[in-house]
Amino acid sequence: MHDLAKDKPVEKSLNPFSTKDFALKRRDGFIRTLLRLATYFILACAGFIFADIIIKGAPVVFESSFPFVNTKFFTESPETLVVFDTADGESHQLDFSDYSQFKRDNPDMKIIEEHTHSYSGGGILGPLVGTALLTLICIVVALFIGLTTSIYLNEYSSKGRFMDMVRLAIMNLAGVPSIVYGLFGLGLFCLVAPVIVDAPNDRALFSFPILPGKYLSFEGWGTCMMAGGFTLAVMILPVIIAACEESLKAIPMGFREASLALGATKWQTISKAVLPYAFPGMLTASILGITRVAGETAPIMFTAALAHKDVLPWEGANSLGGFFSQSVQAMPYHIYTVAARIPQSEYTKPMQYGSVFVFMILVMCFAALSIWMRIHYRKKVKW
Amino acid sequence: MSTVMSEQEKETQIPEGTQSSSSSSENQEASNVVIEVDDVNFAYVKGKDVLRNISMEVNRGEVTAFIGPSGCGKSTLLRCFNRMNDLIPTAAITNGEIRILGTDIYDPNVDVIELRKHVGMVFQKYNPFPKSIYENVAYGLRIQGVAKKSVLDDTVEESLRLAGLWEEVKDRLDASGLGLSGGQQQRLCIARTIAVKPKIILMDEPCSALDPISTTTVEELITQLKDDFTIVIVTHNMQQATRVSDRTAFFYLGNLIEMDETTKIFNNPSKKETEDYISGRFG
Amino acid sequence: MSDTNKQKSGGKKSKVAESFRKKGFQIFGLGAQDFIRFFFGGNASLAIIILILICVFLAREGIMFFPDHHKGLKSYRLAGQELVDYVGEEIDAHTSLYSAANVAYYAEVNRTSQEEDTILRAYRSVLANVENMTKKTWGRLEAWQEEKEDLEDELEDLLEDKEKLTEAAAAPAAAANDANADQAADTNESEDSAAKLAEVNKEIAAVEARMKELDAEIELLSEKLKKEVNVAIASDEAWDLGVGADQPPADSIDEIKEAVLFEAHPDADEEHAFIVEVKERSKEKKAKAAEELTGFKDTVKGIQAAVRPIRSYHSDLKKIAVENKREIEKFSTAPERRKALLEGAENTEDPEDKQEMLDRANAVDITEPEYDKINAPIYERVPEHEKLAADLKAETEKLYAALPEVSELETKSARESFGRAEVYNERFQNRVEENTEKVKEWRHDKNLSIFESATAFIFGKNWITNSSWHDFYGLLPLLSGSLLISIIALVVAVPFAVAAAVYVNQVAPYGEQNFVKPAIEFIEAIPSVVLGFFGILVFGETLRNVSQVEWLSWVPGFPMAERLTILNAGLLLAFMAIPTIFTLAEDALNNVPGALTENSLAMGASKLQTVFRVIVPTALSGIIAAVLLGFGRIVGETMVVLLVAGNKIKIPDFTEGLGVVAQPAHTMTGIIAQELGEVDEGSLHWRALFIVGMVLFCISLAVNFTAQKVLKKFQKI
Repeated sequence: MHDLAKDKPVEKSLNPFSTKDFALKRRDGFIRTLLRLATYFILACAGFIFADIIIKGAPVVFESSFPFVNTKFFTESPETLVVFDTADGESHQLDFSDYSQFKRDNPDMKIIEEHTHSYSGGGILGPLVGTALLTLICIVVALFIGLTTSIYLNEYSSKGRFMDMVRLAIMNLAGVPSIVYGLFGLGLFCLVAPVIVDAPNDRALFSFPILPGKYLSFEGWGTCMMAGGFTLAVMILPVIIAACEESLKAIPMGFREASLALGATKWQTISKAVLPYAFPGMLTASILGITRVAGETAPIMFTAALAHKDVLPWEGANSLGGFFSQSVQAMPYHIYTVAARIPQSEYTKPMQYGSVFVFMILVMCFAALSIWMRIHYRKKVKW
Repeated sequence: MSTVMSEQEKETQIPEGTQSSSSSSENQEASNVVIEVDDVNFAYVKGKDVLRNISMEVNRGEVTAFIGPSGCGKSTLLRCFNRMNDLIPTAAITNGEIRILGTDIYDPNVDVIELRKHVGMVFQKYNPFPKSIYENVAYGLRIQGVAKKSVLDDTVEESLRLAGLWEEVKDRLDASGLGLSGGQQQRLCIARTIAVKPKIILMDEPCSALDPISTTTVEELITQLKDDFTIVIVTHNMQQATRVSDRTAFFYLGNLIEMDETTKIFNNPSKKETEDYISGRFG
Repeated sequence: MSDTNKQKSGGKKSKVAESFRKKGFQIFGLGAQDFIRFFFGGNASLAIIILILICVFLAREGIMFFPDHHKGLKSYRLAGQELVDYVGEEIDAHTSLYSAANVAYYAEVNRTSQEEDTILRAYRSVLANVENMTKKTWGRLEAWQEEKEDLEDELEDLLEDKEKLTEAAAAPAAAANDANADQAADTNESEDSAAKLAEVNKEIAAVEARMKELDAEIELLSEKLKKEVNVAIASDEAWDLGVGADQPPADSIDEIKEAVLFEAHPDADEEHAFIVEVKERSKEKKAKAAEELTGFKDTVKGIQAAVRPIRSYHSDLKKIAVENKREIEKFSTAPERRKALLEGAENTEDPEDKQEMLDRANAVDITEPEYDKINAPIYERVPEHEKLAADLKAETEKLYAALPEVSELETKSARESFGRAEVYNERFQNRVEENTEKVKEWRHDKNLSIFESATAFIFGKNWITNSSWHDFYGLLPLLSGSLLISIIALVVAVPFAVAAAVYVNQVAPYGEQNFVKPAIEFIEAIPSVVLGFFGILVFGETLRNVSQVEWLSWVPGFPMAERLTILNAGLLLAFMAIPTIFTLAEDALNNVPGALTENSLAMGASKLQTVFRVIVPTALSGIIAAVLLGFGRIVGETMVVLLVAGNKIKIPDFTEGLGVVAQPAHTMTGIIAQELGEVDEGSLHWRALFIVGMVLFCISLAVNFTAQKVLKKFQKI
């Protein structure tokens, strides 16, 4: 029936609904194309950056033969690279330790054209471990405080002007530049935070004895991974609180009322009828937090990071406290170092691109996971 | 309390007037059909028809009411008339055709935008744009490229007068449309619709979000408008249908059960379902 | 379920029926539920306390900046340095004028010998390229040659030894003929020297053999090098003259090649005849052009000379001020030095040392210097200034008028320099007038209010640290850099981000939406240090190359000389801000009630009319909030600007109009990241950096707060 109607086309002159404003159509089409171009231009830029890093970085990390991965790159820490030619016309690129070995082994070999490139040899094990530790400390601290705070704000606190102000303050702090958090971490955790010592330092803000021979001294933790992790935690705290509250708010009031009406206590209600459903949202928030934290450089510059360190964290510490009070290398800081603080040459390129490639892949994996989770749960959960 | 009573009295008086005016236009009825629905099936998702084999005609200068229980497809059919269903990607007419002013509106040569200029629509929830009252009414003209102040001024005044809103808002045309009361907002939406001078106005439960007093005003407005426009109104409220419409179509589970003059449908329905519905046995 | 109710019920147990009574563990009428509540409450307050601590600790480290800075400025005035800098400013203004004129002059002179200069430049870069390409062989050759030289020295030494030994061997033999006494010993000696001689001979033979070997090796390598040079010069790589360099005339290419071949030879000492000739020609042409422009030259030289008297006056004053400063510093550190000595004395065991330290402590001069007295030599010379300045001004005015007209200049760069010179001249004249007054009125003991020193920080035009003269802490260079970069980023980011948000939310089909939206959100996760890295290694170079494309030269600031510029940083930050703005703007668009779209469409509006007339205006405040939050993110971004902005602490020179974007700059975030690691804790510099942090903190709070307000207004609709 409908098809039949199509067979006898409506004569244009008779059709009162034929297109009249062709200019409008053209304009619409033009604007549509413009919008699309703008959108895809952004994606093209992103694609270009990714492609550049992947093309130049992947060859450093992967190898064509077994085990297909440059194991040295992942099992050694950054070292100085020595590039030299020997008199027999061969060129060598060796890490400093291998270079010393080489010289010991071939004492007669005449070495010509010797250059050193700092941080260009070895691998990225130290920075990787450091970043992992910093992120771990940060996420544990931030999740603990952030989760409990958001539960309090959303479930326990009474509504009112004060709580609104607190929320506004938290929202505002989410936008404070990361370097300001770095300054804050330096001021609080590195210089003032309390430690237990045998004899308080002169620099301590104040100190008092707590046990015989032990003092609680407010002299700061110094530049160490604890300070860095805590600084990062404070930095993402507002983000985590906001995200967790968001996911708590999304749970319908009915769940709580139904649970309370069945005689459950407040805590039972929260733990059985609210948290399980808010869990995916909170998980997403924490993964998002990891993404942000792992990529940050500014807050750890003065609180935790070190450009060069010979030993891995567990090799240098003899106690748990000692373990956490070491400074560490970190991926973003390492990238900053190799990108801007050492003289550039073709020999530093593999280290630069290799580090950036690995780092970006890691961060992007977390980012992709959080985006996927968000979309996934948004689709799945509807009440 | 007493004012409410008097309002209610008024309400009861109006239907009589409406009915008398509708009976006067009965004579011209057959001569000009504006909307022809010819054996239409419609589905939101392929394979699940929500309208089945609907055929009907809507006449010029009349108020046609669609009644029926929730989910019976009356709004869906209404939204087919100006192709608002196009917004849903999978929705489509699967059979038959709808002709407005003699043209199949689902023909590829039909420009939806032109169609909608001819077939206006008033929605259930009044939704003025967050602009001034003036700009709300002038919106339709502005998108058609009319920029001349005098034309706009005239049309705005004329439309607001027609919608019975002029006296209430003439001093604050620059105020936001959102500042009006519910009934005023709905009349503003009607004014906005009639400003582009459509041939047909579709009304999708225009009074369901309004209080009784506003409802009365809007109903009055509808009866006045039918001199200039053909109106199709979907309503839940059977009393409203009797008050404002000339003809009534009763829908049930996606089928058109019965369509006839309003007085006949309500007083002497020919189908059992219709009788059950209007006597309140379901719905 | 409020607290008070619970407690009441706890207190009046007897009246509550058993079945409704609180069960389980209780202390002081508080049940487990209350403790859980306190636990959460406690953590919440911890979070709030931390957030308050941020303000406290920024303030704790930073707030002492103002008194310290005030003190520093005060001593700057007391030492008379302020006055000296007034004069210095005049000289600086004059120098800018002179150098602009000078640049114009040389541009004019060099114009005639452009062809020759191009050839010479090309020759040099090709030579450098070729040498670079054959570097390895060169290195080895040089190493051999070095070794050969060493061997030659060694051989010389050995030959000398041999001679000596031969002589020594001959001498005892002669002696033996004269007298036979102690024959045995002598024979022993002669035998000894004979053995030595044999050894030396052997060594000589070895060295000679090695040299022969080396000669062969060197010859081989020279051959190889020659071949390599020939290959290199034939390659395109050798003829890569660098971006934007002029190509030499076609007919000179063969000659350049020949010259390079000649020069890229291990034994080459002199330059190739062709190059010598070209150099000669260039020199001649320049001399000729200079001759034509003698008037111009003299004027420029005159301008340079005019400043000499005031310059020597300035340096005289400076000497006095430095002396004064030392006095004042000595005084301000005296108590500390004294204290240190006394403490040292206390801790020393040796009575002699102790006494000495005590004496030294007592000898520390803690009297305040008499500022009137130390400034007297300065006051003595103040009256001279007026005349010197007036002379300089009059002379410069005269000479400036004597400069050629702009229309007489033939090169573009000279004309541009003249344009700058005009601005500088005006500035110079104003500066002299202003500063003459300032010098006249200057008093070392004029009161400096704390307000003035705060203004000197906020509006200070210099950020100079670790200087031997005086450390200036002025926010303006950093603030202007930060703002300029942010504005560029915003101007670029907003159209793209909003367009993408509109496209994704309103125009794109469903499938495309589901792909584009996560993809753009994905960009947000790129760590800033990675973007900075990209900017420093790839984008900077690309941007500079693009800027040197000829048909783009109309773009302000193009062609760019620098790789790390405001523009580079601005564009990268724009890229960073896009996802932030996009996500929030998309949210705002998404929150516009769908009914509005329906209404508009039902009136016969097209989709895009609906978008731009209804949806975008409705979401506008949400979009503005998005832009503000994006701005907040850009202003606070550290790593990208630290790596890419060029880190030059100077207020961008706005005389170049929009071309200002091609300059490097420094930012507030960048300076903290760069300098904080290197300054002493608690020093004025350290505190200044914390204050910069506080300024950042306040800016971001203000921006965020405004954004929240705007957003709230939007949510009311």
